[in-house]
Amino acid sequence: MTATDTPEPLVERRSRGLLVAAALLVVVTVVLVVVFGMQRPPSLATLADDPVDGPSAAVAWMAWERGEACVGVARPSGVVTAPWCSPAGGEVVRFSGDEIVVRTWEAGERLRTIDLDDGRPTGWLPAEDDLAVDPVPDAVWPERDDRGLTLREIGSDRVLWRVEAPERYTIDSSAHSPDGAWILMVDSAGRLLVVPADASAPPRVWAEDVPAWPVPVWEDASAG
Amino acid sequence: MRDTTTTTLLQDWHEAGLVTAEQVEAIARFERARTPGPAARRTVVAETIGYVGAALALGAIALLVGEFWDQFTVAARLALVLVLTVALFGSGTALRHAARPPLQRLASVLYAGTVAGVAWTTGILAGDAMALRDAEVGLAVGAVSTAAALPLYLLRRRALPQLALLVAVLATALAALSLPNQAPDTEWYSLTVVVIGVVWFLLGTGGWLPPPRVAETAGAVLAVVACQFTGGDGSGLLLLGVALAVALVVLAIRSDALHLLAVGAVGLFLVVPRLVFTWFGDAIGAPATMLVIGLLLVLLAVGLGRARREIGDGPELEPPAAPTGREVAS
Repeated sequence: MTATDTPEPLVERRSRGLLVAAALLVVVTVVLVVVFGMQRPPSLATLADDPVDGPSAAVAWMAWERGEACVGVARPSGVVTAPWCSPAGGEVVRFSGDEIVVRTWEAGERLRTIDLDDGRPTGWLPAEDDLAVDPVPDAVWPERDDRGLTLREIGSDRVLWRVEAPERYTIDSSAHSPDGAWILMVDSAGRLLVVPADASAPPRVWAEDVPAWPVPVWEDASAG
Repeated sequence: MRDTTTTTLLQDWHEAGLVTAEQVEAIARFERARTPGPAARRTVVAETIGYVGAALALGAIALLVGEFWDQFTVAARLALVLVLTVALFGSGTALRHAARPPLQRLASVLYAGTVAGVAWTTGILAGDAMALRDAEVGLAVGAVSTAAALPLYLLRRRALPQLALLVAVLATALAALSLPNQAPDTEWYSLTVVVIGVVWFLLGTGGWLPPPRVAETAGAVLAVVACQFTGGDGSGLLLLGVALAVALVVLAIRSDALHLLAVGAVGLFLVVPRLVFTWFGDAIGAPATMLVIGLLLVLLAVGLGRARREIGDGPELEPPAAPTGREVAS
């Protein structure tokens, strides 16, 4: 009997070659995804690292974090704090001196004031106070071409920033500061950016994990 | 055409002196016992009706519980789902060594249900109790389900536990891709699913994922279907889909594997029109697309026929002028 006459074994053998091939395929795919698939947003300096010639007013927003909606406040120095949280959720309406006015749903839809320094709730606003929030007009217009992303200020058409960026990177929301000198932007990576409206400097990262909507609210430094 | 029924084959082998009359009788008895008769077919119908009834009852219970779900505390939700999961696992384990095929199948169903229960429990823990982000919840659900599905599959190497493991692995991989704030393009999700499908196919073919036919079919379907989901232009993925489908057809012809032929042919039918429309738009239109697919399928049929003829026309083994089975036995 020759070797070729040997019958096929009834019990299937395991092929180590195919196992190695499968493992290699997985490793190569993971490497490809990590190297080419992950879209990294453009690298930018942070306002905390470079606070010189920064905005003169603060910005506030509310974001869900671990089952609670927390007020986030970004100071002109670049410091970011979360003074108050509520499991009922809410929305920042405006700054009011050393306090911030927040719309909450803790006891129906109402407005309450929060101390900016220690996060202590300081009271409720009268029921007749306007619950409506004026829509914030966009400040920038993102344009995409083969080379990257170009941001233009709406109105002046001034180019604020031109950057090579991944295909899906964009600016989701933006707003002028009350004095018109600064523009805040929330990019698709959830970063709060700030850029001078005269395009004299590139954007800087002010905070991370900021929702694009509702648009973060500027403090009106000139008021009261 | 040659009659290849078991009885005829046995008679041939006996006349060729390969098996004794006693062996022929023993084999025939064994095959008769294995072949489902009318009673066995009735049992399968009853089993199917039982599953449909159980699915309807479970759906009704799910609807009832769903109405009150928001009013349950997290602890109550966890307790409810945990009890259900443990009950499924316990029942599956109790039936694991059952001899009757319907009970064996039920054990597989119960184990697959256990994996779903583990996924649900993890979802409640990660989403409701720990309030993680959606992508983090997805990753936790996928990873824990995979960790549960793997030992269950190793305990019971059947089709359903294998498919439960495949779904858990898929969920883990897709959730991991969604973890960064800036998730990758759609093509990367598709490519990941394609690779998981191909890996599943290879492991099935290599004998690492029994039953191999289930692993091969599931992997092939996954790989070919995933090539359809393209974000932008997507020519690359569609081309990959055509290549995979053609490879499946070639493999099917070479190994005479009907399940791979079915997946490959349907895959070609799905992918080729999309590729033609991507490249040519409305320039050549639907009739030309259908012509391309038709020609491909004709080529496929010719290739398959030729391969079968080659197999059939192979060197015929002359039956030896051997002694009768009884003489061989003696």
